[in-house]
Amino acid sequence: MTAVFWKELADHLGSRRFVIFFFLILIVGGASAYLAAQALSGRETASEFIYLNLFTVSGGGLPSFLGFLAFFGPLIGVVLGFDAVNSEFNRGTASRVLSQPIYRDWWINGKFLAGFTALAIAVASIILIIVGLGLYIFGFPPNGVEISRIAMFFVISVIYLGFWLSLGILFSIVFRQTATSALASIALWLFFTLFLYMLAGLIADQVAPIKPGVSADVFAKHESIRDLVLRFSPVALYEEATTAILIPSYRGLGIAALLQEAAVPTSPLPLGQSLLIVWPQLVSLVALTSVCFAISYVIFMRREIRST
Amino acid sequence: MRKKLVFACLLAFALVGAAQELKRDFAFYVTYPHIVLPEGKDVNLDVVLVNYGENPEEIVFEISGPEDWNPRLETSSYPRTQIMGLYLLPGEDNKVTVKFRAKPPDEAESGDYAFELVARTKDGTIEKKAAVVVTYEREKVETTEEEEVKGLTLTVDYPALENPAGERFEFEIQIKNEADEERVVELKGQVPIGWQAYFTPRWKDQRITSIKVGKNSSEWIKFVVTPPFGAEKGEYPLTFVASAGEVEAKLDLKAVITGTYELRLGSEAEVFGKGDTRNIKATAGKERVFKLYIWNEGSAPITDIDFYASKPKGWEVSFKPERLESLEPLAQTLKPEVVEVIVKPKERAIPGDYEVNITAAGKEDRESLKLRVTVGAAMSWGWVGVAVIVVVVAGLTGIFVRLGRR
Repeated sequence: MTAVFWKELADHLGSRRFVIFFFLILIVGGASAYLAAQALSGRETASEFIYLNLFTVSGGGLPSFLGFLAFFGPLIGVVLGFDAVNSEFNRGTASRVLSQPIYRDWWINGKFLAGFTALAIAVASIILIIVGLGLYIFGFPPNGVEISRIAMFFVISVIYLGFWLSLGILFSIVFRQTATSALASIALWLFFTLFLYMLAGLIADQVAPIKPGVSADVFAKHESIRDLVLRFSPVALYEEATTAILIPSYRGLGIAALLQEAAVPTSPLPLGQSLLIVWPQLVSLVALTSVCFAISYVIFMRREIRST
Repeated sequence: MRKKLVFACLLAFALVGAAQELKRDFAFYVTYPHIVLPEGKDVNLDVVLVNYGENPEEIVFEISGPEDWNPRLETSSYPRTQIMGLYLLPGEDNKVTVKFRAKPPDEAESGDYAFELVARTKDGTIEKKAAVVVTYEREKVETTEEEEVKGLTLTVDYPALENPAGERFEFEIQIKNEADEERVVELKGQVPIGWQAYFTPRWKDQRITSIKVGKNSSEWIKFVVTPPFGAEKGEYPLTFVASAGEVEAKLDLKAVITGTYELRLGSEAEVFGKGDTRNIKATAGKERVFKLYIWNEGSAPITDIDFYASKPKGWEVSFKPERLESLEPLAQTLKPEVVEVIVKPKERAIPGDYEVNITAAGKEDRESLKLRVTVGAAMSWGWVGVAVIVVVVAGLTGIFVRLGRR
């Protein structure tokens, strides 16, 4: 299995599209982090978690690094996964590999692990570069809380990107043509990042329309329906989860928390409490990834593979 | 009956005519027949004419007396014209007052001068005479000078003025010339050493050293006194002297200077032209000493000066010394005091510009200074950051290159 893993990892890291996407995210993310640092400069009232602000604060017209990762991160995952299996079939290499004395699941497991590792390396190096940028700009190191929260952010980001990787691999198993699986992955990505947000508002408007003079209950219902619809999207789940991790005073989601925020002093929560708030989102992300992987595993294991 | 009436009328006319014949008289007199005339004045006397008769009379005048005095009779109302005769209506209500005027010639000696005024009716039946004696007194030089000695009076409404140091004092003084001639009054002021004094007319800014005062009149002048820079508070006596010839009048005045308190703060660059400005650089977590210069531009010492700083959260600002017991005026100390301000940005201060507001508050005055602190990143950690970036980029490049070539 290790042989498959290393070979796949080398393929991923050496491939041009991975390098291109990696640098795209690195440049845009690094620029947004740098602008965030500029926006923070000289701000007395900045929260005490300055390194976390690097990831969440947007400045100079660019969205925050978090927003970039939530939006463009899936592309890296999809790019790594969409032709993992079907291209090997198309090239005829699959039967050759599988004729080697290895278990069949090693092959698919190795592909998954290699993808995960490549994603982890990419995310880790981007985060490290941003922290290094922070060190250079701020002149003081991140403290323990910041390091642990950044580590948590890293884990969640890898799981999130891993979901898109497993989705890509699933499509690459389901569809014979690489173009089909790529288009299907990108369609799903667009659906989750753009259309579901519109759809959520639309559904909420239909179910609980907000008209002049409606009671607060209707507002709350509108918001909760919108949140409910949005939570079908891994993008929204990821954004909620990382927001709670990167903004320690974040107390929860929905309109009730928003209203409370005005009344309750927003002192930072410990990491454990922040995790508790977004535990459902984390579990959902992990579950989505696992389900995708499980489905592709089952389909792949049951598939009849012939040498053509 | 009618005859009787006509007769009565005739009788009445006859009676009236008889009365007319009887009553024909007028009065002609001078109100002050003997006057004493000092030098420089003219004879100006009222002459009254009253007709006690029944008929109007035309009166003709004749005047005799020293011709060079130019004696004449004039109307009492303007325009003054010389008259040689007048028409006098009967009755005391119609009395006429005319003026007898005469001007002594310049060479006239002291002594009595007699004038005779004659008024007679035109037909010459009634003639009245009035005599006027003028005792002319020519002023002797010696006596006039003795009179001048008392001829100057000085008055001031506010003899003592109070002002903070650096302000000028303005005394308004009235100079009264009681002599009968116009005089030029020399103005002098006696002030403490270092003070400046000058005089101006009351409503003008023109500086003057003397002023012309008309006879028996007065003039207002302003006596302006400027204390020297840094004059201490206290009372200062001043004397104003006005002199005309040998006549001298003095007026004692008082200027009271109250203390002023003006606390000033400045940076080294503002005091010496080099060094720290109000914009200083500091490093997060490191102490930075800023020399604050403090001085008193007033004239009295400021006491109990404490220092405060409003600063960003988590910063430390301390002062050495923490307070000043007393700060003498700069005019005496001649150099500002130095207070060391130790600014320590918090450990995790984001690089950028921060504002520290330093306030020095004494009992009498307070002043504040805005200090702009530019926090720079500590370079040691900056190199660590650079190293992290370099290592990551180098590692990635290595991986990409090595694996991509296969």
